[in-house]
Amino acid sequence: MSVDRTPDAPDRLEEGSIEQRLVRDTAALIQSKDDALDGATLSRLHQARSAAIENKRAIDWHWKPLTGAVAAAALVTLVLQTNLDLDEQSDQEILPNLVDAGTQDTDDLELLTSAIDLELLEDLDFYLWLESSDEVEA
Amino acid sequence: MRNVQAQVTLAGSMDEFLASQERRAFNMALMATGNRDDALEIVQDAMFKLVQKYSNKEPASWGPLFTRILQNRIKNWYRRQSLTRRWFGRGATENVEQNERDAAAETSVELPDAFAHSTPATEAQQQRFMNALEAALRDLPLRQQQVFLLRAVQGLDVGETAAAMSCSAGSVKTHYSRALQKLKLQLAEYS
Repeated sequence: MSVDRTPDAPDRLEEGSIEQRLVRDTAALIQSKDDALDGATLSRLHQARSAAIENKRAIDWHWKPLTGAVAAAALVTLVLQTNLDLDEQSDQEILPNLVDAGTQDTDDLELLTSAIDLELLEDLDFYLWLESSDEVEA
Repeated sequence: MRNVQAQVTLAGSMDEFLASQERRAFNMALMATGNRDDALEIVQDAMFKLVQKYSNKEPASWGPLFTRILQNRIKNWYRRQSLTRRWFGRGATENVEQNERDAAAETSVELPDAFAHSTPATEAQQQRFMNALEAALRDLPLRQQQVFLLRAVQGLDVGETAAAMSCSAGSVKTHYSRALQKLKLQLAEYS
């Protein structure tokens, strides 16, 4: 760093000049080291670079089938889930009919277990007519 | 088919990018570690990380990303070394110092082309200066050294340097200023 010292120059200018020279010399130093790398180091750098690229390719090719399988599994799960939901919905639509049917069955059960003679119920119209005609005669 | 073609192109351009960066990255790491094998390992790790995580990013962003990854790897190396020195004491320190001396011997500085036409006396003086400059750069604390190199050699501005080193712009300015002061002090006899 051969700095030109001029006694009358302002300190700040000199400081800036030294900084510029240091920066320039450092850049030149590193550039010369870049250019002067030995064959063994360059070879290892080349190997490292190739390994990084190949490793990425290998990972990509290993992941692709797995990604496809996961996507397929997700699709199947979705379809199955949708079908199950539809079945559940259908069941809920049928349920009110079943409830009605159950109510009717209960009514029938009451009839069957009541003390009233079934024959009376079957011929209820006849007995109503008979009762009304008796009232008229009376 | 188009995907495969795109991958091949991407791999090709990534390969070219890394090829353009590897020497400088190695010398930055070597300056920090003082050890050729450690520097190579750091560069290899940085390459793997960039390719695996960021090869799908825009090629324009690879430079800043690679610089940042490299700096993180250097920082991690430094932390490991500090721990080793703390736990294993002087023996480990001696090994590291020996490695540093070996690295300095392995990478003796050759004068840049700018000095090609100088006289033998001037050339010898410049050679001594370049060796002293390299020693002074090696002696800088890691953060100061890397900030100075990123700014002086890589040509990064304050913001870019701060992003690469995961620190504030204020820290970059402080480290740079301190590095400059130390270099001036150590190289005063060459002024």
